[in-house]
Amino acid sequence: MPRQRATLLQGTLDLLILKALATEERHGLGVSRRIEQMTHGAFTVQPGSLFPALHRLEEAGWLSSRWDASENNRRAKYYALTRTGRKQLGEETAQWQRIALAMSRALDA
Amino acid sequence: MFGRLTRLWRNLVHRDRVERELDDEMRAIEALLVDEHRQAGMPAAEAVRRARLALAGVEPVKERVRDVRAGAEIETVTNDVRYAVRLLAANPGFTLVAVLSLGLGIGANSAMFAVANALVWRALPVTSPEELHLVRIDSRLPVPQRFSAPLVDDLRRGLPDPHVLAAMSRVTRARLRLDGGEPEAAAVQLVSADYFQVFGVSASTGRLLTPDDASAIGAAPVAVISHAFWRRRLASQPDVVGRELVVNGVRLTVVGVAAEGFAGAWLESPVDAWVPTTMQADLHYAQNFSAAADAEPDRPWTPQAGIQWLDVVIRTAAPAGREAAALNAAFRPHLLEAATRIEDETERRLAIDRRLALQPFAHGASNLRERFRAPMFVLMAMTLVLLSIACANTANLLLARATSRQREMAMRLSLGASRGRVVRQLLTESLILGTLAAALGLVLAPIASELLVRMTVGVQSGPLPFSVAVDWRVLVYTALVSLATSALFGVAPAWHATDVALADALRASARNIPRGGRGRLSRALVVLQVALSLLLVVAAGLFLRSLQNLQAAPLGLETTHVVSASINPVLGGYQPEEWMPLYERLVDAAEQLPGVRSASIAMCGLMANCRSSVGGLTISGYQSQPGEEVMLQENYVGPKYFDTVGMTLVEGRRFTERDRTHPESVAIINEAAARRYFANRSPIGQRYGEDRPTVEIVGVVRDARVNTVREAAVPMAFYPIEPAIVAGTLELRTSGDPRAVVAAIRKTISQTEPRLPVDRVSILADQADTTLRQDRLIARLTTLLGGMALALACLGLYGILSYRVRQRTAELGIRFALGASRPAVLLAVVRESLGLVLAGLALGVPLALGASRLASALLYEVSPAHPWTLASAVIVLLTVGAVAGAAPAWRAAHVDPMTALRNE
Repeated sequence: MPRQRATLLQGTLDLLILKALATEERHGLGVSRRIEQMTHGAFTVQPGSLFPALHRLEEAGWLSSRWDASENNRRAKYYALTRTGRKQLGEETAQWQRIALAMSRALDA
Repeated sequence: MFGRLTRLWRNLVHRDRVERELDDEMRAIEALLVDEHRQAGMPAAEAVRRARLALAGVEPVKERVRDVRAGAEIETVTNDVRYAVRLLAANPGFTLVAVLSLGLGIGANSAMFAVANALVWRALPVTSPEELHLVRIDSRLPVPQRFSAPLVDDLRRGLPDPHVLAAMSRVTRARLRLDGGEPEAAAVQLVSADYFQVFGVSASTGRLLTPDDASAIGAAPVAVISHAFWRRRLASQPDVVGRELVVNGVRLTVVGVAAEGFAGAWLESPVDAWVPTTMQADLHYAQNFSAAADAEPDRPWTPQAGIQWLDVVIRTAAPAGREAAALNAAFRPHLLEAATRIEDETERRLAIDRRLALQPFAHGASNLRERFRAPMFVLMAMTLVLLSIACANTANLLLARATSRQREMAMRLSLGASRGRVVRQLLTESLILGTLAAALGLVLAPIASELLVRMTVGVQSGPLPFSVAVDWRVLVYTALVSLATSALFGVAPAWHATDVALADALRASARNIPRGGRGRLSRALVVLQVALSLLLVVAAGLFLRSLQNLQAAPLGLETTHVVSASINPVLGGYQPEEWMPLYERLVDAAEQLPGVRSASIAMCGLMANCRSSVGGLTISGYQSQPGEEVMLQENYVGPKYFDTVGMTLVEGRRFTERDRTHPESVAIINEAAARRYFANRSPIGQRYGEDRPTVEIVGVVRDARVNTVREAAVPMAFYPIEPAIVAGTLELRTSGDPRAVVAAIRKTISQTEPRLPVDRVSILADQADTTLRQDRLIARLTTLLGGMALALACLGLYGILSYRVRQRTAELGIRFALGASRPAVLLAVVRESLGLVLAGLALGVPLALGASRLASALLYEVSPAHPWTLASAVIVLLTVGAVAGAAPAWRAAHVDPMTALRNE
């Protein structure tokens, strides 16, 4: 199984998933597509990384899941942010921005 | 937290539902992907292919999801365990051999450890045992380590706190009567009044001893009994205080029961009753003492400074602190006073040059510990070697299995399992084997260790003198040993099993995977087994030969036709003036018995742990070295003693009737004494004595081993028995079957002298044999261990050879087809077996030579490099090699070429 791209830092995937689910609930493939779209195709998340992450976040209580019919009437498992998940998204976003700011300053200096 | 727990519960308990859901999810995703591709206008088949490719295998994704789930660890372990148990159950033969051989190995180790634990490491069950110290006399000369009662009092008075010092006698076997019942043996110890306080033992019922109990000689006929005795003999009756015990004819009142678990400070002599030291004379206690020339051993000992008989124990946290200084300050005047009586300058200086030192006493005292320490460590080392052999054996079995499971391993690895994961699975199997073996070992260990203690102490039945129960130390040791064992036999095979070139392994048939590494490793393991087995077989051979030498050692005595009866006139209540007539009556009665040729009486029995010595002798014409202890072991014997026990007179004369009127003035010495003190002259007519040479030597007898079979004859003197001597034995020389006499003499004595207690009646040969108990024990155990090692080595050789034959079936088939002869193939297999054995021997011989040197102190007249023993061991192992190779060789020679080739 090939690893995720080196550019995808540890912890980045979790933040991307939380962000992808910020607007509406999605199934696994939807999350993957949304991440591609958000990053303009820079990150392609492989199923081997996505699904373990989804399950881990669900077990951590940040996501909830339910089965529902998909756009073309297939049954699929939909994930949504929980209240703690939304809080976590806020915290991680802030954290990430601090790091990004610090990094860009450092690199510009 | 709560959410996490419910998930854990869901994942572990409702595993099926969780699994099904995961499966559904993955299936749904696949369907969604297919839909996506179809919408983009792809043909159906291509869409499905693309979807599957994108998922890169559903199973690995699922596997990774499983890994992040709560309880994934637990689940992996339970899965591994479940799988391992299934596999082990599917191969009962393998499992049985592995668990049995390892279980026996672990059991032997745990048993030895349990004994060592009880003997060497377990402290006395008292408060802060590490504070207890034994007071010893440090001297450049060997001096008796005993104290007189007045000296103990002085030492106690010199201490800042007098209540930390206690004195005790040895534990003595007394005759006890309870409620007018039959007399029985009981272990009694005389102790000072503060004994229990110093040891920090409380009373479980009643009271302990108080200073009032030691106020005057014979004033306090009281006893404190041990909890074990209370339970065993008095059924734990609550009204035990005030009960009467008759000990050696003296009525004692029970005043209390000591705390449970405490049985005194002598490991192998648990005390039944403690009595104040002031009762010494009343109880006729007279053993392990040294008496000065002016002492009167017949009078009470407590006021006499000339009789040394007590061990002294002190409680202090600082053994080099002010207590030790205070003890020495109090000891010094005694030394100086004793020195004034010594004329020789050098002797005097040596006599003053003594100090009291404190020796840790947390573990109490034990003769057994001192005697058995070396053999115990040798046996422990040997059980460890045996366990290593069992380990190598199991590792080999696992290796063989690993090869047949290589395709399974390759399959699992290629399905996405990591190598670590598969190794972990295999190690789980090893660990389960190890745990099963440990369980078996723990079942065997208590049985084996109890048996071991019984054989060592010589107690066939009844309570053990000390407990060898499996305590936490034994449990921890067993756990560690089995863990280490599992790791040892498990890691290498697991590593090898997973070291597969996937494609090759999957393609090849299980039979002919070319795996050089595995073959080398398993051959090395067999070689190691052979080497270690040789070590154990050589050890067994050496100890057996040593035992044989001991059994054949010339004792200088007639052993098969001498019967000894140990008697005790003092305990029978005979007054001193009645003793001589009693001896005459006994000898007469014995000589009336049919089959008895002669009878005689003596103070000390033979091989009976009775040893009386006199030192500080002046021998006419003998110049002693400064500091040399001029001493003789002594015995008082009746008429006809030498002829009865078979000691030959080599010079001079026997005792005559006339000697009986002047008993102290004549002596017969043995050759050892003649050699040492009368090197170039005849001892006949020479004189010696304690102060002045008053005793005339009238004869010399041939050397005899009188103490133990192992101990060579020591310089010795015999005197005619006299009215003041307590005879401890009646010796009989038989002409017919000695066993008939054994029964008859007991009956005769009980009829003619009903008051006289007869303790033991035995044939001298049997009695001599009991002094070989330890040697026999070691010989038997090492033989057993050696036998087990051989069996395992045989199994190992057989295993690897049959495996190799099976592996080469096709090759052999081709060879036969090409005209190879069966004998040649047969020989080739046997040669391979012997080759392995020879490699093992090459490693094992130097190993055995080096290791047996370590045990040389335990051997009797056997050189550790005994060539015959080594040669026999080598022959035994070569035979084992031939036997182990025989069946596989036979199979190889009878391979049917057609079947072999068709199988390909």
